Amino acid sequence: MQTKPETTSENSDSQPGFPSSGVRTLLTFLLFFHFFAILAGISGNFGARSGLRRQLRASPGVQPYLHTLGLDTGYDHGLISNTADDWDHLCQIVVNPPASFDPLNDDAENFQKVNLIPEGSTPWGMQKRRYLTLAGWLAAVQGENNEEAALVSAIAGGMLRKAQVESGAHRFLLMAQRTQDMMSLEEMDPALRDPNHPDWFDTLYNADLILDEDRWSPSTRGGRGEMTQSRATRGRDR
Amino acid sequence: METLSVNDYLRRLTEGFGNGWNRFWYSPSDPQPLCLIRIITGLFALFFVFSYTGDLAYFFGPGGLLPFELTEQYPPYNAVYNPATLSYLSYLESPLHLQVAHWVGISILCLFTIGCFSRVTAVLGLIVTLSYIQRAPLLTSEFEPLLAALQFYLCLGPCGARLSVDRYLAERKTENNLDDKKYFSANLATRLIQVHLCIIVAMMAIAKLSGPGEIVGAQEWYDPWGTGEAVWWMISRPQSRLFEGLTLLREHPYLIAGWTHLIVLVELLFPILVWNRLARPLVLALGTFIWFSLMLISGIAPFYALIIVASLSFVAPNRVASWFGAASHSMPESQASPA
Repeated sequence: MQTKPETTSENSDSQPGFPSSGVRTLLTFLLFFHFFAILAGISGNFGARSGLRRQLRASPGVQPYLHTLGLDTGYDHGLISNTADDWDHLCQIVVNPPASFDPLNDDAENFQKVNLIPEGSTPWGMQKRRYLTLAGWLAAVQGENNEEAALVSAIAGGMLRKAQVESGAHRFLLMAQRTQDMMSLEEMDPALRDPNHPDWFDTLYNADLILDEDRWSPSTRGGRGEMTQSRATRGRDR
Repeated sequence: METLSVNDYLRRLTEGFGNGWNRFWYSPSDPQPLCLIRIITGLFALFFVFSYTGDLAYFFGPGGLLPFELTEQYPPYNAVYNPATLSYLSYLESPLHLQVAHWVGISILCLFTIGCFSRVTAVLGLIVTLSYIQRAPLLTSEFEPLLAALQFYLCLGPCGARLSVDRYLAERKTENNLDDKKYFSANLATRLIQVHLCIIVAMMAIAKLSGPGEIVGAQEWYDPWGTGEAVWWMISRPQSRLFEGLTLLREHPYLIAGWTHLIVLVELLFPILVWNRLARPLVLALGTFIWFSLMLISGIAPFYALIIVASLSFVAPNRVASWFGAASHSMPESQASPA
């Protein structure tokens, strides 16, 4: 605190280009509010159960401000966290399969399939990421009946409409493409080194699609416990 | 040594803090880095909006994948109000209307990128970008909030004062070179980008150090970042990696471990050391290296590319000017540098 005491008495008002004192006061207030809102956005990263996040976000104006500017995020991009979020999720509709069709054991090669990710999309652009994110949302709401049904109905309806399939009974599948363990790859059957080998796919959601008036309604098959793993119990099950 | 009373100490403390605060946020500075960030951010915004072209009706049209009602059901929009109501895309259903609005939006972003009517097109460009983000919250990844933040900060500064059509027209009008005026708002916008970038990088580092979110039952606890295998886990996601050939790295576990730990180390150090003038070039170079490497394997290449763009806010204005062959400004680099 002893260093350069003369600089502490500088008057910013007298320096060219500086805003006036009143403008600085207003801007300082806005800066505090802005960073307080950002803090409220990232506070979820530090103990969401403490209630701190809820209270910070309940502060006047914070939530509308963050939402309006699209800043409501925690930036907690761990990328890989040993949860099901790490996996790539894929949506597929098998068109008019027999009622006994079992995606785990039956080969779907002979059926028409509609994929959510369009042919030819590459990971270089935004398009493929969008479809992967959408499928990831479906995995995230799995088990929450109302949200799951609404989302599956909307996605399936869009996919079938695009494929110009207007009737029939179809099967909606949500699959997770698991990642390969670096160490076990060395001892693995060479055929299994192909990440697109069927063994690397888990069917997380399997539902019949039935046309109900003007919308496709999903009806989950096989019982969720049999064919799916819940998000909480999926993990590094290798 | 001078002896200070408590009152003197507190007075000097508050004065010192106040003057430091004013210098940090409100010193006038050259807007060149901000203008460079405008051009690249504008290109990214164009890339973002243009990538919707083929899917516009598929997503938002009648009977599309994402009817407006869906936006009311999913977080983070189950809060005080639904931001999708602010998106002009929410009020358009006909494919023709959607296409018209889409191409008008692209035109605005083109004008923003080249710096034409910058003050107006910066704000309109932000509205365009936010309309796509808010209309489709289920499609947003890590990239969109950062893009929105950068566009918001560019609205606050004179982002069209250099390297722009506005500048060219103004010079043609006066028939000679304009003075390289400095603006406090250029410094303010640049500082906001810098601080926001540091918050993002710090949060990313903390998220990586936090380990797995949930340990359930008897499952083995496994932390991919701590064990040094996280880079492999990203490479092994078939839908996300950019190059198939990266899987050959499984033969080199030490390289994978070194790469993984370097990412965490640089992200931890970046928000601190980037404010040190001596360490800044090294930290920026390391940051650019690891974010470029994450572009290849993370599946969110545009996000990391935009992080590198935001890092440009730490480059001194006269350095940016030298990249464009302009005469170095009167300010020495030590003063021009951002911290």
